Amino acid sequence: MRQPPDLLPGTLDLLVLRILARERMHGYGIAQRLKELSDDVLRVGESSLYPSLQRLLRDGFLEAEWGASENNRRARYYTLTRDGRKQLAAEREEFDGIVAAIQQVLRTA
Amino acid sequence: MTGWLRRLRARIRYRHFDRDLVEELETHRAMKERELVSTGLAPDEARRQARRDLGNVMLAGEDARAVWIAPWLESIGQDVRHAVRSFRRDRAFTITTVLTLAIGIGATTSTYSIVDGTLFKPLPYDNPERVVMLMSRNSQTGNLAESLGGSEAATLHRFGSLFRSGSSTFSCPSCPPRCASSGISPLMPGC
Repeated sequence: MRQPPDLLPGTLDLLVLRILARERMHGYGIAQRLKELSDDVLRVGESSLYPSLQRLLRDGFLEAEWGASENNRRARYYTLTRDGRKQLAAEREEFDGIVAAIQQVLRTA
Repeated sequence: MTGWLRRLRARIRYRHFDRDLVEELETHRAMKERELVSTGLAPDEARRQARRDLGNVMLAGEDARAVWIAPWLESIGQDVRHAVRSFRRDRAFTITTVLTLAIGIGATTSTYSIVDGTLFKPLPYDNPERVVMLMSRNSQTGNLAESLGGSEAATLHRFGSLFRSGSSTFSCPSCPPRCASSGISPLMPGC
């Protein structure tokens, strides 16, 4: 199988924030949702997803609490905090800027 | 709560924090396994693949932990715990080592203090370079006399104190500036 494409640095945090902006979710759910929404293009290894979650937790953008999953398993659910929403907006804007710049180079170079 | 406060809390409640992480990763693995089974994979194969997909659970945990706690700090903690445990296991060795070190360091330190105090440091009063040591020697036998003779003691007493100037001459407040010391007998003739 072809290796999943590398994300731009910092992009995973942005995607995680975006996914959690809709509803609270556990780690596995986030990975699944990312895969679904990107039509299977973006697959995140757990080895980068969990550090990302811990990073966002550490910086106060997320909160975590244990709850019961769909199958009645104990799962850790992540919720976006107020700071997280602000961060999402800021990172989104920054990302759009970067993508626009890249596109511009691609088109005009 | 600021970043370092959250980190500190993670550090203090480390066991709790670690348990959460391990359990979370295990939950993830189990969910994945379940999904793989539902796609028709044999349970054994599903388990194996779920484990493989999670990368190495331990490694994922390490990476996630490293976000909070500098890994080198954690490994110092481990080293210290390991050292303490080994010391406890082998008492005789520990005591020998500690004593050897203690005596070695103690001896070196006191030797240094003595040498420093007697040879290197100036004496702890004004004009230490002018202090002199007086000795009285019997001119016939060359033996050191046990005490100063009466007249010498009287002279000393009269001057109260004596000062040395130069390496081989004496002077005192009311003396002629320099008296040759080589021939002093009795103490400072002509002073």
